[in-house]
Amino acid sequence: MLLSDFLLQHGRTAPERDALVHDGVRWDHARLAAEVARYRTALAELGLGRGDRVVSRMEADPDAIALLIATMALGAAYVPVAPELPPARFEAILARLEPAAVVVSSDLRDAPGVPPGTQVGPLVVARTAHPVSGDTTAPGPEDAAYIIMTSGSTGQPKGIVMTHGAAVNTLRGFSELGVPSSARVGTISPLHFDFAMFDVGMALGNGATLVQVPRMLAYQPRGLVEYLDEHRVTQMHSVPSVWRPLLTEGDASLLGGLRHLDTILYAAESFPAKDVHTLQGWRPDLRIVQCFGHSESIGCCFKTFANPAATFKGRLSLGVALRGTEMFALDEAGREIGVGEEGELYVRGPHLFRGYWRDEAQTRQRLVPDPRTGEGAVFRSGDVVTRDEQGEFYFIGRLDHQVKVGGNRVELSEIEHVVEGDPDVAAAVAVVPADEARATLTCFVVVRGSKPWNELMVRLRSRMSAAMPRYMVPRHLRRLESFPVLSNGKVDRLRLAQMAAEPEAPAPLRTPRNPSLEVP
Amino acid sequence: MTREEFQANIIQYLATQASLPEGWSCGPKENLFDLGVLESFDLPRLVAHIERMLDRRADLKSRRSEVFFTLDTMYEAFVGASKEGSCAP
Repeated sequence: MLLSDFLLQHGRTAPERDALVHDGVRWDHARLAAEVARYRTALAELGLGRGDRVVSRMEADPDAIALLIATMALGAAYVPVAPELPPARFEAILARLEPAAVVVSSDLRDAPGVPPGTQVGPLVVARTAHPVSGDTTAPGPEDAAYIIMTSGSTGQPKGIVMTHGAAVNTLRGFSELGVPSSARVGTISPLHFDFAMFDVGMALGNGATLVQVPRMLAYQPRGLVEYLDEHRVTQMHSVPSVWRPLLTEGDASLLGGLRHLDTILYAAESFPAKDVHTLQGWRPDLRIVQCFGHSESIGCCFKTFANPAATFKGRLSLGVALRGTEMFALDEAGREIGVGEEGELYVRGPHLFRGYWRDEAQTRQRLVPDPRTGEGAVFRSGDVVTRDEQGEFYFIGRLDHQVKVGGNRVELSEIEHVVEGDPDVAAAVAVVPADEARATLTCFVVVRGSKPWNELMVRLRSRMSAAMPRYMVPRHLRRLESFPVLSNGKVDRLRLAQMAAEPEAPAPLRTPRNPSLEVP
Repeated sequence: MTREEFQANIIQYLATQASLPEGWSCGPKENLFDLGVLESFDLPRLVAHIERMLDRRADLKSRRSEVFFTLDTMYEAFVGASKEGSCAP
């Protein structure tokens, strides 16, 4: 089955039911199907077909979802990127993917790198200079449905290619957590974050309603609560960070004000057990579900917590593998881990990604033969996990230097690569402070030459802002004469993480005083 | 509230929050994220501060994080625009 068919399947049986709700806009399934047809026609008229790529740059709203489905239905791969992407990164993605079309919201039609296009509804559909595939045959489950661009360790974003069949398999597996057609699923993730794809699939694929929550409400707890209640959201999907401001306010009545909410589903980063317990204390009737996985598989397991949620070694359970999927963890000797032991997580099943876009080397590192048998293909995650007596898994950390910032995947080496591109930088190491629940990045820099540090900091910040998404730009830049090293000569990242957490860490960049704006 | 009053207030707030040295300041068009003074994790508290200052709910539904980039963009979004009715009373 195609992912686009999976998303539209309930429109035939319940065309009048709400499909998408966004602020003052409401589309039923019939309207969604009509809008999908309109965008599909617009793309087909440009000559696009099976095997092409369409880069989409816009906020999440009903038209963005219609475009997403239309692109997939045509057999082209949908590639969402952030509206606020720096021009250099946007152009790097276009150069890497060679998309036949770029579609943007009207306000971005003049953004750098966006070719001239035609207005279709509120979107601008633009043909690029790259050739189309010319393949007008019907797509199949093995075709790419979408490509998620994520941070790459080599300094360039990498594309995770997900097929229709893999995505449908995953979404069917997660449907077992229970999404009734009466559900109104709240989504706040931006479209370039594949959590949004999960939300779209869980809602539309189960005949439920997707309520699109404006992203900025994540910064305004009372506004978020009002919006969710006004739109009768029953099941809210988000990263834990979205709930953190409510927890910080410590006002239980806020959560109590969500009269329709019965489920909180989170993913993409850890939620400290104490915070989950607080939410459960505020609203004992609430079902809290953790979903876990990777962009390379959307997800592989989920856990619905008892109240209070149990912990093992102080951590919350990830659950067990979805039906039809296998998760296993191997220690350094290649043996499957026992209870309480730690090892690297592998995932096997029909829902894995196809590979990284035009990157055979990286694909071979992550899609490997099953180490136990030497056969098939399993995803080597790089996650360190442990397991309990029931076989449930628990996340411990990463084997590499990949971290999560607000749910976004960040390769620290990509930051280092950008900083080290400056001629006055000898070396750079980016870390997450050791004792912070949130990932506030710090980059340590060893300088060459005599450039004043304040001037160099300004230049480095400009350089990073131009090359990377905002969430990847470290808040703190700190100069060191040299990096601490381990006995084997490697940089002591643990020590740097501890240094980044020390209270005497220098304040952010100070600029010269501006007399016109002095604090009275 | 005038632009100058708004911006001076925000500068004072940021200086306190980020433990910046006394007398720290920045230009109205300088990008506060690029300066390392602000990041997305700080926005809930900043929004709450602006709402307390203006004594009204800020309408964020149609905004992007770019409105917090500079003192100027914040003023335009939360004070200047209110004259045209874009902010909730």
